[in-house]
Amino acid sequence: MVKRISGSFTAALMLVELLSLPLQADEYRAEDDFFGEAPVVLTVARMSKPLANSPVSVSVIDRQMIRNSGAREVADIFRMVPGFLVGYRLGHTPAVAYQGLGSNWQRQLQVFIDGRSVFIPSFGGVPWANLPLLLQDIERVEISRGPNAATYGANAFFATINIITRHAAEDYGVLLSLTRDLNEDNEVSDFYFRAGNQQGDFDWRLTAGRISDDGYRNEHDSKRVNIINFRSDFLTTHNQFWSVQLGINLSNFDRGDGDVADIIREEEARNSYQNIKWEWIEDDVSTTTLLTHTRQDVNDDFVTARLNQELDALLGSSLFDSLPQDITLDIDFGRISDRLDLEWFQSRQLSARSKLVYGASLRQDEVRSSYLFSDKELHTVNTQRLFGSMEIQLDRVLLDAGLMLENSDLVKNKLSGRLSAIQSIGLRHKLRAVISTAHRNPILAEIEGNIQAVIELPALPGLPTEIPQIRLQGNPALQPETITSVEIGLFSEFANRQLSTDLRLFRYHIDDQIIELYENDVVGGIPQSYRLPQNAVESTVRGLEASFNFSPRHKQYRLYGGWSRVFADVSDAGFEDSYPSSTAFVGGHINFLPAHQLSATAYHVGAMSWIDSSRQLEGYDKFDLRYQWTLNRESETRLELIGYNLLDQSSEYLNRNMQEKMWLVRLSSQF
Amino acid sequence: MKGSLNFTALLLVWLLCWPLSGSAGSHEILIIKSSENRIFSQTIESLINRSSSRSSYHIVTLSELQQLPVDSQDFKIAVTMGMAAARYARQQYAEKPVLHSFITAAQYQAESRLPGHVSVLLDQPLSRYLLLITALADKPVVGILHAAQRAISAEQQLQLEQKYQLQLVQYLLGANENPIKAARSLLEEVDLLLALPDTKIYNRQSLKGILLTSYRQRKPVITYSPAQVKSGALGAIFSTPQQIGWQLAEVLDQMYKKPVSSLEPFQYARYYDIKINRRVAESLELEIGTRESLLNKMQQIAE
Repeated sequence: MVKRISGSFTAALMLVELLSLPLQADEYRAEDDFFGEAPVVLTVARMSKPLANSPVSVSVIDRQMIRNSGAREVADIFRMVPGFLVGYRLGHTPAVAYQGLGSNWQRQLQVFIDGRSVFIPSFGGVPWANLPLLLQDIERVEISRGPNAATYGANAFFATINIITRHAAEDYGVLLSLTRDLNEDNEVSDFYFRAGNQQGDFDWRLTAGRISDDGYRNEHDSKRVNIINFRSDFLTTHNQFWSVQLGINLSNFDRGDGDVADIIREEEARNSYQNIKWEWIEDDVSTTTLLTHTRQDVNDDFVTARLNQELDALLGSSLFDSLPQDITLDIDFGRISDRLDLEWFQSRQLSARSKLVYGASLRQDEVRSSYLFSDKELHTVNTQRLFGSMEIQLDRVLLDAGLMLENSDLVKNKLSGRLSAIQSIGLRHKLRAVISTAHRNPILAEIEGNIQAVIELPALPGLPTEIPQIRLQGNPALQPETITSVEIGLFSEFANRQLSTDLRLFRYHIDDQIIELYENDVVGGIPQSYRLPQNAVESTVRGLEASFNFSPRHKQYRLYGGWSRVFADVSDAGFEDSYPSSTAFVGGHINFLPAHQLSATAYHVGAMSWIDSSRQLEGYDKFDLRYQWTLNRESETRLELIGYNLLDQSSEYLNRNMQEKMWLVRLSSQF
Repeated sequence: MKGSLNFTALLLVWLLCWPLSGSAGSHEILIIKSSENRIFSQTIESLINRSSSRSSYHIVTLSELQQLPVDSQDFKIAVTMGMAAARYARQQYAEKPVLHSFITAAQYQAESRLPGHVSVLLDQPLSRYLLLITALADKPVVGILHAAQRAISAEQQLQLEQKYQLQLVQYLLGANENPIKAARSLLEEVDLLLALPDTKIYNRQSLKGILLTSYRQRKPVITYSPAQVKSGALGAIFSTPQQIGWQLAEVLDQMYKKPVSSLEPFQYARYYDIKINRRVAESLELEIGTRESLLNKMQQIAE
């Protein structure tokens, strides 16, 4: 008897068989194992493009480099990228910059964690210490050096950081790690806990961690950062994948220098996110939809100490100091930022030699900050984007072109573009030429900001009842900064791809750079000097960057490093000083005896200044060393001894804050 | 054109079987499918097209056969497809000539041998996997993860290493050992992972972790399953349903012509094809030729 069955019935039957697979795990059917539908694990989104074929210069920080560095915090790993600058203004305030214009709130860097932008719309920049992210969860970090707004949108201006965390299926079981310093006061106390498992096609991972230390010796800047993350990856059919991520960072930072207006206090910050990603793979088409929500909620309000003397100094009187009544000011640095982002994109293999990526996104940013805007209102910015890029492989040339059209309530219809050509030279070398443009959109505070303090006075004859103190006024006429960049790069591979090198020669010009200039006015009868953001700076920057990675197959050792040299010609001296003439790093590890490893990383940064710090740093060198003893290979039980800043003391942000020598011990084990 | 050929072939199958439909009369070949699926149908179509004899076929699913059993006197040879059908035939038709298909070497080894029963395994011989690997890479270190009882002997390992100019590293998985963790450990020592059929190691649950781990370590996976190539393995060597049908037809012809006892009790897949995941190759920066050029290279190395 031959049964004739319709295609739809066959499909339905196959679906039933497929769905019933997990329930019949013990009934092995070889025909399904060989010819059935297996879940697509390595999707386009999960696979990285080869560095040699990347249309921009890309540096990669992998897990081994992170481990070798001994880093405790996410910001520290960016020291291992040519041209990157990392500095801690305070123990809980790391800043990351690329080449120059570094500040506590660097606005020319775009940062993503698993596709979710973590740029804060209130102050701009990235709250590195507040990120709901633990170093141990990172799989790799890809850093595009140079403008890449055609792919990532506004603020992918100097560079773009893509942090990719591990898939839940990679971390089954339980891992525990404890870190303590070897000083008597035991100021460092970190822990990390991870549990992961699977239920059929549902993989999950829960991580929790704490980063805690006392910061700089002479500052009131201790931090206690608690982070919890949950990630699940699951599939509904063999070609439809879902990833759900939730996380929260609860931080307590000690703040204040003891001054009357900056009293000793504690700031509480709560950063949370929810991500849902859906990927659908169909032959040569991959579709991804990503919905994310992030929220930053900072609570830092206080009442200043007695300001009577300061008021006398301001008004040239001696009246207030003699008053028994304290004149104080309520200051509320508290702020809430919400970002809701919906992105859809499709990657389509048009032929063996051409590929198209296109998509769109909608974003809503909402900020409430009585400090920034002097009101209780919700300030909203809506942004819409359309983007696309195409890659065509000609004989020995790979062409790539990308465009991004961006429209927002603050900036109308801005176009960013990128054109690159990669020429293969023999089997070892790829010569890359890239032209790109990008914009750095003004943040809300720069356009709608109104930072002012109003000091209420006791009723005294002949005096006003309040004194306004204006600090910053937004500028609605502000235009985006625009960068035009040209670069020539050479990516080479030697020794059967065990050694790779990358050279990058670049020149970029920035127009309409935003700078806060002081304006004078008289408000309420009192002369005021306040900051007004203006498009008033132009820069031309040329430079050379080089990096190498020697990773022999036997893995007994590894060596990597990078170097940058920059020549900046900027119409503002303060901005120009923010570009160090050179940076360099070299790191690596060596295995010895069966279970021992030694790793070290050395860094150099030339003289520079952060733009929110008035003093120039002389430049500094930093050397970190790490020893690891694997006590048990089966459970990966490791004991690590990590030494930081083993050279002379140095300042990397404010001259008064010195990086000191410190030894830590870390014990980790899986079970 | 291809569509009309398929239709003709299906028509032929239907015509050959038509007189038997709905009856339990006498037929030459009884084909028992473990279940109704597209793979078995394609194989049967290929078998009938390739067969040199004009036999009559009675094609049933196992569930149909369990409801309406066929007496062992009503056919000359049985062909089973899948393990469930094989088990049924071993119980019900132990004395009859039976050709088993769609079973793996591990499944074959787990059952006792019955005289008159011949098996065509889904597995490729190990040497053929190594042939593909040699065509893909120069003197690679190849990792194989398998159960202790399936270990390759030291003598055979040496022979294979010398013949194919490569190095084999075996990781023998303990009874309760996590295959993902084992794969991670093995991948640190090798250039690529060769996945051989073993459901305790490579299953729907472990596949994600193993493929992700291999990709993180930039080490490709060569596998037995074209489905796993879609998942993220670099390449697979396997027999298509059509090729399995060809081999079954040839063995059936032999079973007609010779005493079944003179045939080898099992044989590996004879015809094969390869499949490469170009996206994985590109991401791992591996320059791999076309399917045809790889097959030619394998042919040249084999000669």
